[in-house]
Amino acid sequence: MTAVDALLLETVESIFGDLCTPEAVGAAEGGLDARLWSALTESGLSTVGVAESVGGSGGTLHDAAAIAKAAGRFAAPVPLTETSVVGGWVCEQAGLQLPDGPVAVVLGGGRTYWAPVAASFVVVTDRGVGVVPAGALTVGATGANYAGEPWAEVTVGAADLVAGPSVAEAAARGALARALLMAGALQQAVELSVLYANEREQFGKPIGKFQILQHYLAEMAGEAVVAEAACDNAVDVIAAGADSAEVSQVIAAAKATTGRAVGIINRLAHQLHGAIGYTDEHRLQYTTRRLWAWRDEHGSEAQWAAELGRSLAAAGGPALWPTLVSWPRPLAV
Amino acid sequence: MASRLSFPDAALPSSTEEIRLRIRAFLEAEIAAGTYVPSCDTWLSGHDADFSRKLGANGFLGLTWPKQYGGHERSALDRFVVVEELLAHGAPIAAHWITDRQSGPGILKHGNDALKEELIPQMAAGEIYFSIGMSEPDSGSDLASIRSTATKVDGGWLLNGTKVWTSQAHNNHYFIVLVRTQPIAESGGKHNGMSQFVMDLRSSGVEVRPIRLLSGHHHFNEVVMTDVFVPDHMMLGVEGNGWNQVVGELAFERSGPERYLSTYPLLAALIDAVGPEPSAEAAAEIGLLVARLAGLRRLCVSVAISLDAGRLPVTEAALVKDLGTRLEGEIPEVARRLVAPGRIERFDQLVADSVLSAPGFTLRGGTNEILRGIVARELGVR
Ligand SMILES: Cc1cc2nc3c(=O)[nH]c(=O)nc-3n(C[C@H](O)[C@H](O)[C@H](O)COP(=O)(O)OP(=O)(O)OC[C@H]3O[C@@H](n4cnc5c(N)ncnc54)[C@H](O)[C@@H]3O)c2cc1C
Repeated sequence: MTAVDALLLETVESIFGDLCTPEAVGAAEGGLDARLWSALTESGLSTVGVAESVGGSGGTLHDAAAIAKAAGRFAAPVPLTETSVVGGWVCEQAGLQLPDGPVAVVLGGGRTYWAPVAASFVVVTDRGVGVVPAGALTVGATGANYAGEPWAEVTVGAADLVAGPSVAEAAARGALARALLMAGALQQAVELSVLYANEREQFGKPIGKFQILQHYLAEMAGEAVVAEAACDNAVDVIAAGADSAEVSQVIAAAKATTGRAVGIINRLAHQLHGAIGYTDEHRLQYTTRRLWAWRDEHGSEAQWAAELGRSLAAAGGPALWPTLVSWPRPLAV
Repeated sequence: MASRLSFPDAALPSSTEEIRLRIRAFLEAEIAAGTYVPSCDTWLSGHDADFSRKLGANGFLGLTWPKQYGGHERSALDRFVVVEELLAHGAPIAAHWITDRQSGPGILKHGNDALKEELIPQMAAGEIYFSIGMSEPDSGSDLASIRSTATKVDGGWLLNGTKVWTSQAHNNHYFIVLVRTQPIAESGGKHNGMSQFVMDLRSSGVEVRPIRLLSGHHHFNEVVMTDVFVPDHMMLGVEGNGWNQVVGELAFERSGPERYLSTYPLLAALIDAVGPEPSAEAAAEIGLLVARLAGLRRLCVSVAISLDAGRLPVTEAALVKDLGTRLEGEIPEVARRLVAPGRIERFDQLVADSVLSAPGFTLRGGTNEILRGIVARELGVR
């Protein structure tokens, strides 16, 4: 596995740890947390994984993935992955400069995540891609997902377009971004549950002493770990170089596995937390609402699983095994 | 916490590619020649001595063992690759499976020179086969409660007691048996006072009685030992250290690819059975199974790399086995939902074998409830 710089991770953890308090995360609903966004921009973290030649901070996809997982874990209320993993990638592929400020990515038009707070749009159509200031496009109805992350309907008018990734390829990248955020948030749901199991007492002992809850926790930990593994496979395979059909397969596996895990982990996390976890007072909800939202965005687990299944079926049964053992690629040592 | 579980490296070294291609070519040739038909759960049920000897003759057994004893001194990751290819190709590997996975390594680690010289070369050649003698009628998950005993006599030990669920004891030559060499009352704790012995299953005083599975197959047995004499040099390791020896093997026993690939041949057949343009429902169900399988394989490789690096990822292995054994049990459930019976004979056979062997997946080698207890302890809630 490609090692991620320890100093980078420390910086990320300390910024998120300081600024993503439950109060701040709650207060940012409907928009973004401007303080967090500027802290990320000042430290160059909002564009890690995007080449310096197009205005990014440089670094690898592995670095960007580690930051995305941390953003998910801390429920960071900013369009970080839209800007780096999706928008920055489109710009890099097309040789366009990534503008400063938060980015929303318009995938052919329609519902565009984070559009209401974006300074610029990266526009992806099957005729080409472009970058425009937010004011340049027609923004219609707005809304927010379960976690208060805003979206808007965006119509793509005439814009200067250059050759770049297709809508499907950019949508897959969006799915990768959500899968990475989910991998981090799933881990957080498990960690909060472990903490609560040791803290809450009933019948004269911590509820974590009840075997059924121990088993819930073990099951949650397992689902979180396998979901993260699917994400790590995707990042490894993409970083090693893969054609767009294979990129789509590994992302499909990541989005399907994380999306599935949400159903299991959120259910058990809430069951374990009892009534307090069902309130807006407890911080568990910042994680679980995001997970419910993210599993639907950029394609649900059912859609991506079907996509993967179709491509596997087209290749036939004997092709499956060689595919599986090439995720991740063997490493020359 | 989830972060306490660690799955660091997950990419196999490219040096493993050579043996992967070699074993794959070997297996494809065997299938083409009609030596075997790929089946499910063959690491437990596919006992075929000819096939095991052929693997031995081609250098695919005892891969990590010293050359001095007929091994090949290759890395544990080469062995991992060979094993996952054997499983994915549904090869009949039950005869040597336990021998190659744990009895050989156990003897190499704990056995004396005489025992190694006597047994390891034949094990590496795929000629003699071992079973596991742990469970007893009253001791399953609570293994430390076993009652079989060994009593010291001149030149050896006399073994008495009953072992049960002993896979393939009727076909195999030896088992490694866990018995009490000191009564609990004197051993200073339930986990002390146990020892392991290598026992010839044809010794006088041994009776191997068949226990039929619900499918009617004769897979496991009851092994009754009445004053069976076992010579001194067949004691494995140190007297009284049996429990630690058994526990030390668990990470190896629990983390292998057999814990999620038992029904892989059915999954591959399912993809062909639904055809190149499946319904959205079929595509989604297959896609999700494969997505999870790919994630699990990464975890499994990671555990293998950790073991190879000298770590003992006991909890990680337990977690992978819990996830993997449940997934391999889901494959026949999905397969039978998507493809009606009576269309493809081989497919129906794979489904039937998988459905009827699935109850064992989450029991053998430690039940999933016990495994989750191990994970929970690591998470910090026990
Ligand atoms: C196909 C197959 C092959 C086998 N081959 C061998 C072999 O070759 N050699 C050998 O020695 N053994 C073998 N076994 C035995 C296997 O190791 C045992 O089945 C296993 O350890 C469980 O023991 P048990 O069957 O007595 O179930 P029990 O321990 O009686 O368990 C019954 C149920 O109670 C649950 N339970 C028990 N304790 C707890 C607890 N503390 N907390 C929560 N739940 C609990 C279990 O999870 C299970 O659901 C084999 C088993 C199978 C199915």
